[in-house]
Amino acid sequence: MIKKVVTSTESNWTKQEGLYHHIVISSRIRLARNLAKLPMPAFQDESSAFTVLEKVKKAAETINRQRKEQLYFYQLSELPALERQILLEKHLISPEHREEGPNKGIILSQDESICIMINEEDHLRIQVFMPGLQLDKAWGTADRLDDELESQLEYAFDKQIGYLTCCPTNVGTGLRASVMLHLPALVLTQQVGKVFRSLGQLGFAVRGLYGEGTEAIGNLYQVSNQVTLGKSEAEILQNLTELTGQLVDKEEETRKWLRKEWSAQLKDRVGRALGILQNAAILSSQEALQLISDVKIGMDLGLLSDKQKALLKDVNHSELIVLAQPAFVQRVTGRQLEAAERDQARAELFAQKFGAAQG
Amino acid sequence: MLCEKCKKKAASVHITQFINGVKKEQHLCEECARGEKFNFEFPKIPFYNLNELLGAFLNQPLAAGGQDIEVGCPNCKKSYNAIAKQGRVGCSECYHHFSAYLEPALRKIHGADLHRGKIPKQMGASLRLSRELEDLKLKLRLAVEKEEYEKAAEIRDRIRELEKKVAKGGQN
Repeated sequence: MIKKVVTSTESNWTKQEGLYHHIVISSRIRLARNLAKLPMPAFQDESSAFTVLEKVKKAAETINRQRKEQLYFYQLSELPALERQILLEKHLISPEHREEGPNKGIILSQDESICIMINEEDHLRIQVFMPGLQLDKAWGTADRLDDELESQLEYAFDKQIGYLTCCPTNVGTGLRASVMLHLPALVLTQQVGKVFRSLGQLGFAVRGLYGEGTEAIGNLYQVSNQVTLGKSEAEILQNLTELTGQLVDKEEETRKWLRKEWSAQLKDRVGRALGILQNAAILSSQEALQLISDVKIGMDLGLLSDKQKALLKDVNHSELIVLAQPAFVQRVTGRQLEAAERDQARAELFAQKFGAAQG
Repeated sequence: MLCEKCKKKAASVHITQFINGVKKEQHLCEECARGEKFNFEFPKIPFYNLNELLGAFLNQPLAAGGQDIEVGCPNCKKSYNAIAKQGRVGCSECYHHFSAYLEPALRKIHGADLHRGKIPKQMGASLRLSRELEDLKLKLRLAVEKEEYEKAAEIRDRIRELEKKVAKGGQN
């Protein structure tokens, strides 16, 4: 099962479907859960970490008997570093979880809609991924899975403050809901900073998906709720869903304006981006992400020529985001690569995808 | 004014820097200015890690009637100092043992101190009932205020039903 996960750019969240999927790439639900009384991961020794891992593994085996969709357990120390890196690049695990360490685990579903991290910052981090804006559906899946696990495990819960987590910032619902957004028009018109500053005041956290600080490579942003205590899950999800709808409106409005006023410049961008993707001999991850973003906005706004349309017929933007990542390129070429070689290998991969220019 | 550096061309770039409160002025020609590599970025603030930053959040002054900070959690034996330093608790029991410190921190972080979300099915049968009751009583009050008496009667009946359940010990 894992072999497919680490060789294919496909994942449940890359399907390009669901509400507003041309702008909302994916939705994610993450629930932090811990086992009562056992030391939290920040303070656990190897043997107590092992206890947690075994308990959760056993719980998964038990609930599998009742499940239509099976769950698969993997101990991370048994996966090569490259495969752990790919899990990270597909957003299935966190950077912390990728790092070497005994008794870390994951539980995956075949379609990669579910990935539970074991012994990350909390004993369990139940994650559900869906394409487009589908926070409610993702929550439904996470909620049911949480019920199933809870029937087998003794959770740390307090009736006053809710689910107890390793870090006080997650106490309460333990719920972190997030959406991944592609906002090229807001970035091009330099509105993104202004919009995001106001989100901070409303209790949402925004970060660039790649790159440091506020700079987002490939115009990709992740927006999530910050507060987990004092609000119900339904409220948290509704707030984020509404906010996402507003961001989509704002991006759409700006796109319409760009299409009207700057259509020649946009067409030019798409053509240049395609030209580089087809012909470059060296392509960094950062550049690739920017170029596929340029191509995507052209596709979304219907600015492509027939020839370009035919060329991009089967291109999936979400999967290209995964393909642009370092470990993925390495995986495809099948050998250890230096950074410079990797950029060459990436250029080849993208040239193939976009039908390299003849001669 | 001539460029301070080459003393040949006219100075067209004027730079005023404040470094640690000391003002330094420079007048250069464009060419020399380009050669100087000015660092206009903010100095990087060395946060060792984010946990420590959060630890500061947890480092509350002794709350009124607070437990002795030296006494560790009876379950995991971690001291509050260790928790504050890491910004992470030792185990679920720490929340009870150190509640005098952690609850004010929770209020600061979340602006609230009561969980209003999901309750685990296993342990929460009676708790869920009492939450549901609270919820219904609020709805009843709203219905009466809006003079929706039919709806209010319905809600009242459900409240009676639930209260019977609670009396029986919260068994579903």
